[in-house]
Amino acid sequence: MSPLLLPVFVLEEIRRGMEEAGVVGVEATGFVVAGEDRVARHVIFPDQRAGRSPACWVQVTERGKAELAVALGADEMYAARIHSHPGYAFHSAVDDRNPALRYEGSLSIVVPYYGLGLRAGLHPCAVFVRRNRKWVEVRPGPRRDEVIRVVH
Amino acid sequence: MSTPPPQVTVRTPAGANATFDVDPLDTVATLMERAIEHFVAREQLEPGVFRLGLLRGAQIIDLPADGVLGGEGVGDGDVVHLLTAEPQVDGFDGTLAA
Repeated sequence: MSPLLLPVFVLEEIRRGMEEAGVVGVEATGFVVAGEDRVARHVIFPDQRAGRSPACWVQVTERGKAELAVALGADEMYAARIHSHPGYAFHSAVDDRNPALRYEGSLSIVVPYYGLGLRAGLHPCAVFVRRNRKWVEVRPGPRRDEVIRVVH
Repeated sequence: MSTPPPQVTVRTPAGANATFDVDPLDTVATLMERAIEHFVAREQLEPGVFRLGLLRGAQIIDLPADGVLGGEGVGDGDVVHLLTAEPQVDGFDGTLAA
């Protein structure tokens, strides 16, 4: 599978959505839409609820699941799910179990500091790729570039 | 000359799609199982708990698993969506990923 190309304007869209949630102290989750050319077109933040107890969490509602289904064009796919954390970027066991987007080669991106991390691009984020039904972290560098790249 | 069977397109939560010949008397569960098997074999989906929703305009109508396609209004050219039936939650329960 060729790398997902993430234009800067999509990254900005994601950052704005996450910071909006972050100013009230909650996480946000979004889904990156790409065409057959693997270029990201935009992000969708479906209907979701979030809380801070016992720790931060965010959940796509049933309405949100339907919104995701309706939002895709015929030639589009969800290439990545992306969610924010209050602090460091990592995958928790709960993140691992989330069934939202699981197919070979799909991506999961975690953004630190309620989305603020995206002000420095994708570098501070944790990126995971689905391989053999497991999430495998790909750190910044050539291996990450093989699965996702920011483009101007 | 026989009439071709109705065809229904199924999409995964990620948007992968495939078109299936169906019998209007097939149950929703039967179509869902065929679709899951198809997508899992191609690594476009992982096994899980799903339900089917019928796209009508800009809305998704939930289809009962024991309903028959014809009775639920699913016909030729329709698009139905596999939706995860499990909660889609991100968060921290004190456990890091394995």
